[in-house]
Amino acid sequence: MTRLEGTSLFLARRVLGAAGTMLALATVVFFLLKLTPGDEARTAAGETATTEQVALVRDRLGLDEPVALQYVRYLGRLVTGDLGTSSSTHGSVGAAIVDVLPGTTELVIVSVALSVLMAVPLAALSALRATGAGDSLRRVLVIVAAGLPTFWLGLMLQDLLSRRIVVLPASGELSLGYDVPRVTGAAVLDSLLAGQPLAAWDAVQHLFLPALVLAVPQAGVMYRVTRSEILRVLTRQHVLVARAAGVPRGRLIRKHVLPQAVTPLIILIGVDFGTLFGAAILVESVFGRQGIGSLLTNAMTQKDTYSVEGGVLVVGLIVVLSSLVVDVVQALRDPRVLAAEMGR
Amino acid sequence: MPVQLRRTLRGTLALAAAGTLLLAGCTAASNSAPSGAGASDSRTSTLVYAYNNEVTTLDPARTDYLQVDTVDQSLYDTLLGYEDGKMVPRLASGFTYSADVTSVDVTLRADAVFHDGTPVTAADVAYTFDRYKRLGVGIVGQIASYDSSTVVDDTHVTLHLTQPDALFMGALSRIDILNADLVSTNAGTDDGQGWLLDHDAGSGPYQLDSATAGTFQTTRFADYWDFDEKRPETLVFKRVDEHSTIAADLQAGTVDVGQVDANAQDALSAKGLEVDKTPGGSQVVIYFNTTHGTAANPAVREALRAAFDYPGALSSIYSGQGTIANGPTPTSLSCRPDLPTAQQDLDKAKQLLADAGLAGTSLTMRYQPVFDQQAQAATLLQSNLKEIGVTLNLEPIAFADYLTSLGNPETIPDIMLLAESAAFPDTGVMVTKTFWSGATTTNKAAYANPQVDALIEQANAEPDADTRCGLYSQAQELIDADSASMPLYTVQTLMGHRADIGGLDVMAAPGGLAIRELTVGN
Repeated sequence: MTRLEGTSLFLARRVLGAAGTMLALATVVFFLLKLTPGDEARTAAGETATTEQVALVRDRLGLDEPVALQYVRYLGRLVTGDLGTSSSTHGSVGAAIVDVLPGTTELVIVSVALSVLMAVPLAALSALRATGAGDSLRRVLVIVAAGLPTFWLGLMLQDLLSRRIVVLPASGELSLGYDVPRVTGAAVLDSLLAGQPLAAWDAVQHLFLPALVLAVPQAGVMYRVTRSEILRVLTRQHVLVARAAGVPRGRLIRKHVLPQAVTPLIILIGVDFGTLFGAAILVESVFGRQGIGSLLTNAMTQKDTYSVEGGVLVVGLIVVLSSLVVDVVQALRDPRVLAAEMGR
Repeated sequence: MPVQLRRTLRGTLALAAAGTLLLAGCTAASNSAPSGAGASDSRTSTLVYAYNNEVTTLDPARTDYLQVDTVDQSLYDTLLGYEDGKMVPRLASGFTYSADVTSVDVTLRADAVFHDGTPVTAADVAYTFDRYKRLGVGIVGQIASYDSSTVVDDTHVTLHLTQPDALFMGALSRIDILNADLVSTNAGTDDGQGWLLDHDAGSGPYQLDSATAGTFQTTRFADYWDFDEKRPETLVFKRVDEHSTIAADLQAGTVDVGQVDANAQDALSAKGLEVDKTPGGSQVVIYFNTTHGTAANPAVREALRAAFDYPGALSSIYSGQGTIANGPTPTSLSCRPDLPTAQQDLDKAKQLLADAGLAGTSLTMRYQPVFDQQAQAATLLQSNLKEIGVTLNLEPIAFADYLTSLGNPETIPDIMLLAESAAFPDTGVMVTKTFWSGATTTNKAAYANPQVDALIEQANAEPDADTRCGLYSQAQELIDADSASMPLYTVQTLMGHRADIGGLDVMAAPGGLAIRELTVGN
């Protein structure tokens, strides 16, 4: 098998696997929602609706059809990319998700970047000074930081940095007075595209605190994983040989240790990227930001089936795609991954 | 530590420190208005209102949801409104019932225009009512008796009802009038629901500029028939779910009005901000299933009413912001009988249960854990009942599931704790929706008393307000005697606000702040 064939096979398997995962997710979510108690038509009709009005809504939403038929119609719409109409807003579910997803995406990307920036240097330093009271203290502090409840951390930092010492804004995405045309829905990016650097800086300030709150627990986990891996790589023969050959310490870390040690970190980033979309809801609530998490929560309480399905599928797709990206990156970095694929 | 690494670390730390200082410095500059001269004037003439939870749509058909009404009450106008509990004209300059209370003649004012400059006409009123009836969801539940309209001329319309309904007039305070031409043009296949999600077809004191990511920016409408230059030029609705965040925003000057907790008062006052209670109030109440289950026994209901520590709950859970209940409807409404204030009497509670052979019994109460104060009240009642040997199991329930349960008396929870308010300031609407046996989807107590039904039906067909008032009062006395519910207290929320903001004592029809009446520069 040629390398090209091997690569194609690798990608094809991953893509098919992703599609299968999405189909399974869509099916599980659909039937789970049907099993949860509550009448969607009743909620959609309103608190003071009469019995006749509820029946009318049930008929209009197709909820009086057999569940199997509803499922088939649902899959048929998904194939064409139609996520349906929200029973609570009567707007397109797809449009509602597009409205809020960029904000969460921006938050998650910055959060992951902050996690890496905090974790990797600290892990490298800690691995190089792996003994002594200083290192023990560092590790304890990181474990504590990793265990801090996100909601509590958000409120504490907000109280300190937005109320007592007014350094950063308490909530929102952009200060009043900035008129930035909405292009992508991500405030920083839209401000840059509009050629408004001050607005972009304002958006960064609004983003920093919520991203930091999301990043701290993740950084703790990244630190421990990276530190362990660096310690392991430091004992490898090629590193020992390089040290014996007099390679400077900094170069040794950058060129011979870190590239080998970041493999689990890359996998962790891929996993984190997806899960942070769900974890972001607490942070979005504290800092008054619209996001996919709050859309999903509202949809659940309203028993807005299509919105829940659409939101879960989109988050699921993000998780699947980020896993796919991690797999591809690993394959590019490590020829043994592709070789194993070709050998199957 | 190797020298090279030490230098690298020092450099990194120095860079981080410099970056933080730069951040702080630029933050202090950019947190104020971006423009220079006149910036403080424009900020004073802008009002940022922080609201909680999602505004799902701007379609006035869904103003049965408080969040939607919060924004729409500023964009739209109704035929009439309420001031100090009395009906006042708005788009309608006059309105009269027919003698048999089956139709309402409405005369429109001649100077009302929509935001696109076109006049508000009788055809718009007819279109609005017919559209809500067609949709059959949301606010139409308040005008269930609406049948059809007859447009007499541009300023006269008659609204016909399917049956006598003296509550219909009050319900008009909740019906936002739409620009028929604009909505028809953009009706699409869903009667305009998709378009009205984020567009404005109203004639209210403000018009919509933008609706993005939960923030709604509106501008004062210069041609509003009741124009007041003290209204802010710009009114912004910003979603902030956490009260502590609102308090922080108030102190930072990025929000001007918003709900806060009592523990934020001192900090806000120190910054020159003020804190006031909202007008009106919602009632926290426990409903019993009076026909099925353990609470069908009157002794159980009376015992629970005697077991609760009312003043303790109001003081510790609501920081004293409210009044203890003395009847089935909120103390903020009129047409209420003079009933005694609810009181705790553990000995009486214990005796009632013992006499009924229910000493040491076990009960189950449903509640919504998403509301922290209600969860605390549920726990307090559990603790109170434990003192008299009764076990109260608390089971959470989502509101959507609770609504479903109301469709069948057998599935209505035995005991349910929730908060509610009247759709408009008329006792009759609460009494009818909750205690009339014909209100099958809203009768939370599965309550059926022929005497009460007769009084309610008589009142709802009575055009004279004073006579209706007396009938509703009599009905409430009977409902209270039956212990159909266990009202706890009428509570008010605290609003932190900029010192120059006025109008915080004006109540909206469904209770709470009339945001459209807020003024600045006082």
